[in-house]
Amino acid sequence: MLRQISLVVLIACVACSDAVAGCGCSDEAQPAFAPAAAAQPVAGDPAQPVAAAAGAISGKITFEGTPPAREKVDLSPDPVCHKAHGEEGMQNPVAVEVGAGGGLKNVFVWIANVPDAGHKDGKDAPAVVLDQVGCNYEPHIFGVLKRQKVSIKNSDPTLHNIHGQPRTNKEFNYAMPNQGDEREVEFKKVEEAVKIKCDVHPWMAAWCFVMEHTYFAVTGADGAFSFDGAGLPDGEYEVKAWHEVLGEASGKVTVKDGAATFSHAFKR
Amino acid sequence: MTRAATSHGAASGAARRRFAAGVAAFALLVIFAGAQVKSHQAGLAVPDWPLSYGQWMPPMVGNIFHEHGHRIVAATVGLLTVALAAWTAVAEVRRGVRALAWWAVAVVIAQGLLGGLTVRQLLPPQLSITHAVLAQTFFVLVCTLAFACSREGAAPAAKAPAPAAGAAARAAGLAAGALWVQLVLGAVMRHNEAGLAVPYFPLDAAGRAWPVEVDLRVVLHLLHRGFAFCVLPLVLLAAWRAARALPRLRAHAALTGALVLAQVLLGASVIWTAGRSSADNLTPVVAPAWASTHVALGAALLALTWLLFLRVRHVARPARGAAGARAERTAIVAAIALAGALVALIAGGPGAGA
Repeated sequence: MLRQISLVVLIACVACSDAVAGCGCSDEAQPAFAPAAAAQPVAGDPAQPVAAAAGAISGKITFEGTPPAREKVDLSPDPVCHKAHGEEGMQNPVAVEVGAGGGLKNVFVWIANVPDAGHKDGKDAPAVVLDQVGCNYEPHIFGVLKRQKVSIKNSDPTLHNIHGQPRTNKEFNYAMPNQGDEREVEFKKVEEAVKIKCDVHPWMAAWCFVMEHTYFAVTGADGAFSFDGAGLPDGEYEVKAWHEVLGEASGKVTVKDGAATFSHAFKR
Repeated sequence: MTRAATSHGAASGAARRRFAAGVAAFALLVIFAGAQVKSHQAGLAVPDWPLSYGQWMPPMVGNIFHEHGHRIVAATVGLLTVALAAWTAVAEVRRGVRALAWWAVAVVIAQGLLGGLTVRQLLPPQLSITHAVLAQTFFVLVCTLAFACSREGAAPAAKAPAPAAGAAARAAGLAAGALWVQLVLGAVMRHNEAGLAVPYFPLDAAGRAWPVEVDLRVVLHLLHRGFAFCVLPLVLLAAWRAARALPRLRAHAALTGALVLAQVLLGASVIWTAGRSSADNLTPVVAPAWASTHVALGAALLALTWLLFLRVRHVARPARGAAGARAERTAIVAAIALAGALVALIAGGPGAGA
């Protein structure tokens, strides 16, 4: 009997091993990742006009409808996080944030079909800083050039792990246990909406767009965005807008002398 | 042998029985702790292994509590298993039981290494599923060892087999095998994030049982849900047959029957208690305690059914004959091979490489 059980357990182990061997898993599916950098996000300035400035591609992203009610995050599992926000607490950072005039915050807007001549490599660009402050990411959404360094910092006196979950670039997960810890990463391939998260504090999420040009921006609190259109040949382009909850939308703009306006309303 | 020596031996045997049962109970706790890790999506909250943030005992904040807590109880059960094996090696006269104890050590070590590998490899579903399945297989192994150490397990088989015991043993063996397959299906579903792929039960708001849109996650979900209704009658039949064949097993059989009903209800409760993401108020989010209890109760049911099989089989053995024994072995091996093949085929599902 016992010999039989031993045999059964052995077979179970072999079956499980086969399952692992037969998976055809991660390394092939996830291309190599190398330490890198990131580009400075060009956040929309609420003070900027919606109308196109000379040489600027600008506009406003709005939301129509009733945004999902935001809930407060339970910060009690980590006293440091709880203390950072006091009794007021913190609302879920992943949210539909609607400002004055229906302006939608934290929308990543970019030109989708930039000609090859406008492509850039971020190898020599200054690093983009992604900071962990008050158990939150700053910035919440940002763009970098491929091979540009992203300098990840931990400004909190608590432990974070920094877990990048790209689908095209290589996944990473590093410990950042001490306040002041820094780590640089880079993404080698263009990729949209790379989620970066902390598994210790599950509400923490940031999004990184790995670009091959600098024609992008993130909307501010009023939904406005603007980025420099210099160098973009006159013509019609596809503009895309992405929000972490509402998804992606696109439209056309005609660029003249590096300037154009684009607006879009997400509805729900 | 003197009376004192006999008494000492009996006391030692009783202590080892209790210890083996304690190790089994602790293994169930580890399964619950592991389920909590998954339920809270805390598997990568500690990025390094075997140390945690470069230390043995990091601050237990946030999801580190779940991940490192799981590591602590898992390491403890590993040490307890080694102690049980050493004790068994010294005190046990039956060679098979000693071998079983060392098998348990081998499996728990493999399980620990696999746990470390899942972290180092960033939780590929294939590894996580194997880790989950091996955990419950180890639990069943320790339960088997505890049974072998018990008075009942150590006693010689009955001279005259109980009537209908053979059929009851086959039913219990089949039920245990089906539960093991269900465990694999559950692990495949869970680690491919398909636990709420069909977020209603039994019908949606429009009165439909079958989802309008079917993708691989929905299929994985429905496989686990559908097979539950195959397992349910098998376990109830096994319990009924065992109780009828051996009246002294009525309590065990009744508990098994009650547990399988509770488990089906608990599975439905995982759906019913799911919340909604605070980001969009739409995406269903599992309630961790319900899902983890469902996993742990599933493990307990599997072990209970397996023990029912062992107990009935212990009595039925003389009646089985060589052909019966071969059929029984074949059934068990086939069930495990089938489940293993399912792991190999499905584990890589939609979540692989994601």
